Amino acid sequence: MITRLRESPTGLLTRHFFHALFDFGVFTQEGADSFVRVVLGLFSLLICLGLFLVYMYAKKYAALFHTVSGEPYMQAVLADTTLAIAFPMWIVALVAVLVSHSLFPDETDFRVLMPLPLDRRIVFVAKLLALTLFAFVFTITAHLGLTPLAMLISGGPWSTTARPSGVLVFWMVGVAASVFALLAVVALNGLLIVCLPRNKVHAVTAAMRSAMLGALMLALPLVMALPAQSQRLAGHSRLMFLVPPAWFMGIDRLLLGHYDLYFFQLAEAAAIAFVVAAVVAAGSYVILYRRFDRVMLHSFGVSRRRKRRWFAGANPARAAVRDFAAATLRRSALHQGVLIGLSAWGVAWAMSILLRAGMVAWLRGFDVPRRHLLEGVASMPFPLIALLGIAARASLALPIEPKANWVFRVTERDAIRPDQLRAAERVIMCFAVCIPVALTLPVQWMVVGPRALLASAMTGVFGLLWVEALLHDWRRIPFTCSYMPGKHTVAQFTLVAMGMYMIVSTVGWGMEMASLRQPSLAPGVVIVAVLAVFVLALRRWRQAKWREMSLTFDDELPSDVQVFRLDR
Amino acid sequence: MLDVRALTKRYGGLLAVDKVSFTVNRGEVVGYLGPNGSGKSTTVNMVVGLLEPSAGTIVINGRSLSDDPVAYKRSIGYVPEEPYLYTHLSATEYLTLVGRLRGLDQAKLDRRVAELLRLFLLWDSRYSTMAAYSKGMRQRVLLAAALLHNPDLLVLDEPFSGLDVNASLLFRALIGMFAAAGRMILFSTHRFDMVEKVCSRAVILSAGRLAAEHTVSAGREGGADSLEQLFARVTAQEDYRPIARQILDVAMDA
Repeated sequence: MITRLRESPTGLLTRHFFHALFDFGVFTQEGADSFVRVVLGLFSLLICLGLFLVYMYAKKYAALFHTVSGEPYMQAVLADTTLAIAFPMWIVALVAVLVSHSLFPDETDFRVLMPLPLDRRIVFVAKLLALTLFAFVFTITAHLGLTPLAMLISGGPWSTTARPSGVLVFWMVGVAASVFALLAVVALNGLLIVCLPRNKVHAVTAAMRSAMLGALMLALPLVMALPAQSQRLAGHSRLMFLVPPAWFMGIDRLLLGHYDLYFFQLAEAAAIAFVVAAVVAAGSYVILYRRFDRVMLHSFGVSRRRKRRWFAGANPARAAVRDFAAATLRRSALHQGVLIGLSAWGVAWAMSILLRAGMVAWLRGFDVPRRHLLEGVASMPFPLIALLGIAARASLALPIEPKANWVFRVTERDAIRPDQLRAAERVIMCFAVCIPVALTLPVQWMVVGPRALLASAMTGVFGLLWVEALLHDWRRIPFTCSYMPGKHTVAQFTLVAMGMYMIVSTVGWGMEMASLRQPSLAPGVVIVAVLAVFVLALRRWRQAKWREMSLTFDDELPSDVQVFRLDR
Repeated sequence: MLDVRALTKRYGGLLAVDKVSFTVNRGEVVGYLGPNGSGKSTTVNMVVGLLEPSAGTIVINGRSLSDDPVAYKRSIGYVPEEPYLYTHLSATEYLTLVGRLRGLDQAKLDRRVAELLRLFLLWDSRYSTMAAYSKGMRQRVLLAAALLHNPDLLVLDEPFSGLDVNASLLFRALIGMFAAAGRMILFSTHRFDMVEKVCSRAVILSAGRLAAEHTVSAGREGGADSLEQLFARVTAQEDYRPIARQILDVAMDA
């Protein structure tokens, strides 16, 4: 029976669509295999994160279990349940946005499958099944990871329900919330595909995908700040109606027997939102089912503006790569998504630092310790430098049309190579140096006045130092080299990246703090000058290397297998 | 003159091309024929500098690929078999990219790109990304890119695939005139009819080795084997009729 189902057209197509959801079209076969390992690593990271949350919350709940009244516990449960619901929602929404190119049967499906003796219904059912399976994998993993936390918060002396009931309700409501997140992304994409003129669909959906990625990343500090909203939730704040996970928390409370008008209203909002998202998503599917030819997208046109001659510059090789990079970043949804998604993560992180430092309260006129503000503005540049730099490098490293790179291979010359590579350097420099300086300078100026200029200079040299680190083995023209993800395991990468960040940001933070607090400018100026000289030397060394070494067009896994010469 | 001497390519234990030698003289169109897997594409990739030979030399007008790859590659225009292009770019953007990488002066490049787009009938589509182009349009973009820097040698790998009748006739005329202007063309293809129509000489490859060289005009005049006969003989072609029969039997049995 199962074999027959697997080998039926629906089964075969479902498997095909499911695999396609992991295929971004830029990997070689080895790269795709490697990507699967990365995804498995991410799953294990989710589980670890869940356990880490339990470790963090164990102390808090131990204290709450021993209070004289159950009130503090009840307040904390509201906020922490909202977090436990929000986290899987966020993950499912993120992966849905990442695969939004495959949410509906597309032009390739239309061209390949329609000439076959297949009922259109089978194609759509298979697509839906694949999407459901895909979302199911992430939903279940995220909920498995958070189950220990749910067990922790749903038990104890002040809990009014048995622990198993609490966990069961968490699963039911959490899965419903995650399904809502998926449906919302599908509905938004479906609306665009159905409503927009066909020649605009590609460009607008690509822009929407990047915007959604950015919004999700910017929402991350808000998700992490949910546990601090216990007072608001307990005080029945209307503000929480803007927070979708809180709607589902309302259902959770009702199912556990806490009948309260506020929870009813939240649950009502959840039900309405769920139904609207489901109806729009289903409607989009139905309309596309009836008008499958809508997916036959017209390619979008390009700008007809005259080129700015003064900007073209005297160096044709650099201009060639610069224009190629700009056009690709403007038109490729994948590259744009990586750039905007990771950059937004950096911005979100910086925002959360400012929030923790009490910046909003200070701006609203409340008294906030100056030391906290200084620490906040001194820490703020580092996540921006780190993540914006990584975002730029990662998006330039991902290939587009890998087989078309022959045109760069047949025109490679020692004389133009450094100029071609410099185009990538400019992009990374813009993201790792210019944008962090532009974003932090006004905030630092507000707190410390003109002294912020010195702090910005320091931010700039740290950014340049990071650019050198990112480019130390860079020998690629943007988007032309095949990409092999997972050169290191996710765990190893995470540990090394966190370790490096901790060291560099601590040292950098110390220097920025010194430059902001020292009465004299001299130490700060000396530090900036020394670092600038060091960066300059590194830059010269790298550029000399660029002149000597040829370009890379094929990425490889590190050959770190140790061979034992047993024959010796 | 393009002078290929004892060209060899090994992939581990596999000998893909074995000491192949041939020349292409000025004013000549040389057909490069061979069955699938004979090493034809490998040779072409080595001639255009995409693959490094394991042994042997490739020299064009006295400039060796190994000694002076930059000057060597400057002399070559290449149209690959598959229209691998950056399809998110428009034809104008792609040709400008190639021209700049070739180091052409911007003003001259803009003028040349515009003229080539008009002449290759791509002018109306110049603002569309190439994702929307037909295979024939993409071939025309590739040929325009190959001619952009006024090369001495054109290496064409199956350039007629996907072209309509008018474009094929244009390509044929272009190839003839390019050679008549004292330039060289290496024309890799499976199609005997095209070789007989546009080439002065054919080089036949079999199992990585040079199997024969054939003056096409001799075949045309009936003084020797026809190219097809020669090809079948030197590449040890089987009689395909029994296989065709078997294929039909299998298909019709269904």
